[in-house]
Amino acid sequence: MQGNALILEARRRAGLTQTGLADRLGVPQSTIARWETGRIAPSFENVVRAVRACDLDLSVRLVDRDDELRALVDAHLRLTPSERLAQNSHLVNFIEGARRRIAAAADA
Amino acid sequence: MPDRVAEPPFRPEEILAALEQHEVRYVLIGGLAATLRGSPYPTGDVDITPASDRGNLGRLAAALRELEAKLRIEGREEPLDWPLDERSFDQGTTWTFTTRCGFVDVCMRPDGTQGFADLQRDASAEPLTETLTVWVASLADVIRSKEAAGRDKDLRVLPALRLAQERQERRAHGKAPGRRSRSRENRRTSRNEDRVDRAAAEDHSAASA
Repeated sequence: MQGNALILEARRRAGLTQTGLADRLGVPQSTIARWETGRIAPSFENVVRAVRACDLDLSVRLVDRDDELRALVDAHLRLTPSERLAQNSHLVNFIEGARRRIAAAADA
Repeated sequence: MPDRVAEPPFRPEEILAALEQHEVRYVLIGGLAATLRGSPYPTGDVDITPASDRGNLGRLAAALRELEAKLRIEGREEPLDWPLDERSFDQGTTWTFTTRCGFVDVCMRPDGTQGFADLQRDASAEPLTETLTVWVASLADVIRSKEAAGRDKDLRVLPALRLAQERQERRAHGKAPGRRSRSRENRRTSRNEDRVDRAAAEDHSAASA
C-alpha cells in the first residue's frame, strides 16, 4: 500500500478537487499533485492528515506476509488482459459445471 | 428437492461485443475489471457504469434486449421480464440482470465514485480480442470502489488488488520519465482533474434530471 495512491483514493472518494484538499490542509495545490503522482513521497503523518481531511480515517494493521498470494498475483500479472479474461471465463464455467454435477449427484 | 435453476454459461466476450455493437459508452468496473487489472480471483458477472445521457441509455437498453436480459431480484428465484428502453434506468442507480450470456450489473454511481466521467478519467482501452476493445476502470478506481463498498466479498480481494497496484507502480517507476517531463505531467494531470470534476458534476446532474 503506497501513500500516494491512498491520498488520491481518499480525495476522489470524497469528491474533492486537488485545490479543495489543498485548502483543507493549508498547503499549495502543487503539493497535493506531487504527493499523488509520487514525485514526492508523502510522510506517513501527511498521508494520515490528508485522509482525515477527506473525512475518512486510515486503519492500519500488521498481518503475516502472504507469499502464496504474491506468487498468484505475479503469475496473473504476467498474462495479457485477454488471457486473464479467457482464464476467468474458463474458471467460472468449470466451477459452475462442477457445482451442477455435485448437486445432480446429491439428488440422484 | 426442487430443480435447480441452471445459470447460463458465462460468456463475457459476447456481452461486451453486444455493448460495442450498439455503441454503448461505458466503463467496465467491478470483479471483471479487477481480473483484467491483475486480480487472480474469478468473477461470474459483468459490471458496467454507462454514460447517463438519454441516447446512451437507449443504446444500452437495446444491447440488453438483444442479450435477452431479465431483471434479477434478490430473494426471488425467477428473473423478471422488464421493459427495457431509455427510461428504464430513471428510477434507481443499480440494476442486476441475467442474460443469455451470464449476469450483467449496471451501476450508475459505484460506491466511492462520482459515476461515468469520474471513472473514465483514468480508464484505458484494452484490446480483449482481435475485434473487441473495452474501456476498463483503472486499478486504483476499482480499489477505491471496493474499499467504499466494504462488503465481505469486496474486502476479500483487496489485498490482492493492493499488491497488484504496488507491483505495477514499481514497474512504472522503473520506466518513469525524467524530472522535467514529470513536472509537465503533473500540470497536465491537474488540468485534467478540474475538467473531469466538472464533467462528473454534469454527468451526475444529467442522471438526476
